[in-house]
Amino acid sequence: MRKITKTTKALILFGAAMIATAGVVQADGHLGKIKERQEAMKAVGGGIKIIVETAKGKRAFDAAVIKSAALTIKTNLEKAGPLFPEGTGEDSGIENRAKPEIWLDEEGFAAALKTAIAAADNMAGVAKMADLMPALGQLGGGCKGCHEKFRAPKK
Amino acid sequence: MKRKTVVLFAGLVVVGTAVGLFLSRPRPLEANVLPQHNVDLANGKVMYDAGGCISCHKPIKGADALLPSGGSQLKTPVGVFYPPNITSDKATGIGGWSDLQFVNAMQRGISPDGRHYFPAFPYTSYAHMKTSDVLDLKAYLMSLKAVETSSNKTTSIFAAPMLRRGMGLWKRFSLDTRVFKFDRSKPKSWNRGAYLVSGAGHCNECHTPRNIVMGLDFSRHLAGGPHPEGKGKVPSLRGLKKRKRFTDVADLNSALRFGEIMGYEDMSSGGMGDVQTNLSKLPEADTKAIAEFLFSLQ
Ligand code: HEC
Ligand code: HEC
Ligand code: HEC
Repeated sequence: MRKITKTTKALILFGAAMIATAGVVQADGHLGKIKERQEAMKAVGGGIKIIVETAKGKRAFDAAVIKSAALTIKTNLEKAGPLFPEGTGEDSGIENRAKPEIWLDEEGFAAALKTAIAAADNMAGVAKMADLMPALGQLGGGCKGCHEKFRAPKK
Repeated sequence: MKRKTVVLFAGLVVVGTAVGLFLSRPRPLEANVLPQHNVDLANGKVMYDAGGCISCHKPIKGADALLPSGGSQLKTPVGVFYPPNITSDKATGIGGWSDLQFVNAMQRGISPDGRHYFPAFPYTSYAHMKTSDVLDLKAYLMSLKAVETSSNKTTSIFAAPMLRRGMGLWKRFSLDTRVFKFDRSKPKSWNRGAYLVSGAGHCNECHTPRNIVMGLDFSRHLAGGPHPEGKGKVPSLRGLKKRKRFTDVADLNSALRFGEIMGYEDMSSGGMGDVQTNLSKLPEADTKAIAEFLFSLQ
C-alpha cells in the first residue's frame, strides 16, 4: 500500500513537472515568436522611413535605395506572417499589441498581409520620383489597413 | 420600531424615485433656439466629415459603403450598439425628422419620442457645435441618397430602457451644453482648430481622460489616458512639440491628412485610423487649423 502511494505521488509529481515544463516551453516559444515578429515589424518600419523621407524630399531619389527598402519590407512582412500563432495575442500575459481579431478573422488578416506584400513588391519596381507617391499610397495604405483592424493601441 | 423603519424606508424609496425621475427627465430644446439660417451644403459636408458619422453609422456588408445607413456593430465596454440609419429615408432613416428633432438628438442626446440616447453617440461633443453648423449637417444628410434598411436592432445592452432613463441623471452632471467660445486673444485659425477639435471632431471623447462618473475631465484636457473602448491607451495630444512627436505645424498637418500613408506610425490603431480617414476629407485649411491648435498645447 505504502509503496503504491509513493509511486503514485512520484508519478503525480512527475506529471506536474512535465506540465509545468511544457507550460514554460510553450510560453518561451510564444515569447520568442512575439519578440521575433516585433523585430520584423521594426525592420518594416525602418524600410518605410527611407521611402517616406524620399517622398518628402528629405532624401534624393535613388531607385536602388527604394528597391532595397521595399525588399526589406517585403521580406520582413513575409517573415512576420507565420509568427502570429493562436495564443500570442494581447491577452497572452506577454506584452504585445496583437488583437484577438487576428484569430477571429484569420482570412481578413491573411488578406491584409497579402495586400501589403503586393504593395511592397510594386514599390520595389518604382524607377522614377513621379511614381513614388502613388506606390507609397498603396504601401502605407497596406500598413494602415492591417494596423487599424488587427493592432491594438499601445499599452 | 421595526415597522417605522420599514415605513421610513418605503417613504425614502418613493421620494428617491420621484426625485430621480424628476432629475432624469429629458429636457429638450425649444423651437426658439433655431436661428434664421440659409443652408450651406458645403459646410454641412465639412461637419459630416469632421464628425466622423460614417465611422459609426457604417453600413452593413452589401449596402453602399459611402452612405450612413448604419447597422454595423459598435462595441463598447457597456455593450454592443448598432448605430441606426441616418440617411434621408423617411421610414427607416431620419428623413421625416424636423430640424428641432435633429438638433435635440445631436446636442442634447434626446430622441424625437423623448428618450435619452446613450453617450456612445458623442452628442456630449456635438453639444459644443454652433446650431447653424448642425442645421447645415442635417441639410447635407438630407441631400444624400435615401437608403432603406430592414434591421432595427439598436443595442444588446441589458436593461437598456431603464438605463436610458438613468442617462438623464448622468447628463445632469456630465453633459456640458455650452457652445464653443471664441478666444479673442488667439488667431482665427487657432479658434477654428479648437472649435473643430472640441465640437464636431469629438477628439475629447478618446483623448481626454474621464472622471469617476465617466464624464470628461477637462482639468486633463487632451492629456490621453485609458482607451474608452477598453484595452490599451490613447496618447496625449499635449506637449507634442516638446516631446518631439512632430517637428512643426506642417508636420502635424501632414500626419492628420495622410496618417500612416506618409509613415506616421501612431495614427491607425484603436479607432484613430477611421478618424484620420475622415480628417483627410476636410479642406486643408481645417486640418491645418486643428494642427495649429494642437501644437500650441503645452
Ligand atoms: C497583416 C497585418 C500587418 C501589416 C500588413 C503590417 N503590420 Fe505592422 N504590426 C502588425 C501587428 C499585429 C503589430 C503588433 C505586433 C506585436 O505587438 O506583437 C505590428 C507592429 C508594428 C510596429 C511596432 C513594432 C514594435 O513592436 O515596436 C511597426 C513599427 C510596424 N508594425 C510597422 C509596419 C509598417 C511600416 C507596415 C507597412 C509597410 C506594417 N507594419 C504592416 C500587423 C501588421
Ligand atoms: C462614436 C460613434 C458615433 C459617431 C461618431 C456618430 N454616432 Fe450617431 N449614434 C451612435 C449611436 C451608438 C447611436 C444610438 C444611441 C442609442 O441607441 O442610444 C447614434 C444615434 C444617432 C442618431 C439618432 C438616430 C435615431 O434613429 O434615433 C442620430 C440622428 C445620429 N446618431 C446622428 C449622427 C451624426 C449626424 C453623426 C456625425 C456628425 C453621428 N451620429 C456620429 C454613434 C455614433
Ligand atoms: C476613437 C478614439 C479616438 C478619437 C475619436 C480620436 N483619436 Fe486620435 N488617437 C487615438 C488612438 C488610439 C491613437 C494611437 C493610435 C496608434 O497607436 O496607432 C491616436 C493617435 C492620435 C495622434 C498621434 C499622436 C502621437 O503622439 O503620434 C494624433 C495627432 C491624434 N490622434 C489626433 C486626433 C484628433 C485631432 C482627433 C479629433 C479629430 C482624434 N485624434 C480623435 C484615438 C482616437
